[in-house]
Amino acid sequence: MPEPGPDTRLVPLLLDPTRLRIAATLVAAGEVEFGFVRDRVGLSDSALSKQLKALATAGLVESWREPTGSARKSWVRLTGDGREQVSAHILALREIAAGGERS
Amino acid sequence: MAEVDAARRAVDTAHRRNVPIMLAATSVLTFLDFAAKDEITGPRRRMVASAVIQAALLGLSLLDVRGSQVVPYAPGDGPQPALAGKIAGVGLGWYAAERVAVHLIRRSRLTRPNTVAGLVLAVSRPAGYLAVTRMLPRAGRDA
Repeated sequence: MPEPGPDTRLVPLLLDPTRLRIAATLVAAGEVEFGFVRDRVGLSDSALSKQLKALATAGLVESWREPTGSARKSWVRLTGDGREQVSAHILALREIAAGGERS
Repeated sequence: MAEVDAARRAVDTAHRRNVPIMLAATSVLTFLDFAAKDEITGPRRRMVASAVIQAALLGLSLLDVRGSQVVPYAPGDGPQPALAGKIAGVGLGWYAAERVAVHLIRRSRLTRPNTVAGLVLAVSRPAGYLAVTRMLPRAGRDA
């Protein structure tokens, strides 16, 4: 019996635990402030920026800075397509984990 | 998968942090807004007191929005007239019910009708806020 191929729902970029933590934080909310993600994931500003850039290049997230104000915040959110991909990725992981527990 | 659940809890905690303070402030300021009408003589002074209290309410709401680090609600894919209509219907129905209650209380023979109306609204306003926010779809509940 041939071995089943890799699950196509898995997003290669999210197989990295740090990026998965970022995605998990973003999928739990509509929009999240940059500082909230940084504190939750435990990264420096520059390390988080780098990870977000990789996710943005893949079209999974988008970020923007408030246009006005002395303490302008940066916000991050999953794109519509990114939200679908992350949700599918998490669902696939859940199924894999459930399958592992059964066997 | 524990990470996904932990992220959800963290977002919920961050979102709920200020909710009790905001509900309490709304309740107290709403009561004061109405109770002041029984204590202050002269329509002009009453209007000034009401304007100050409502400005404080607005300022607190803006501070709450400004201080929040998360928006827990799911971004819509486009206009959602059914949901918007439902929320507007509940909001307007709630407001109409409040006005009727205030009107009936003011027409009663109570010695301090506005104070009583303030007590009623001090409960119903925060309850209405909670009811409406619970109707908004939350992000990531299906992940």
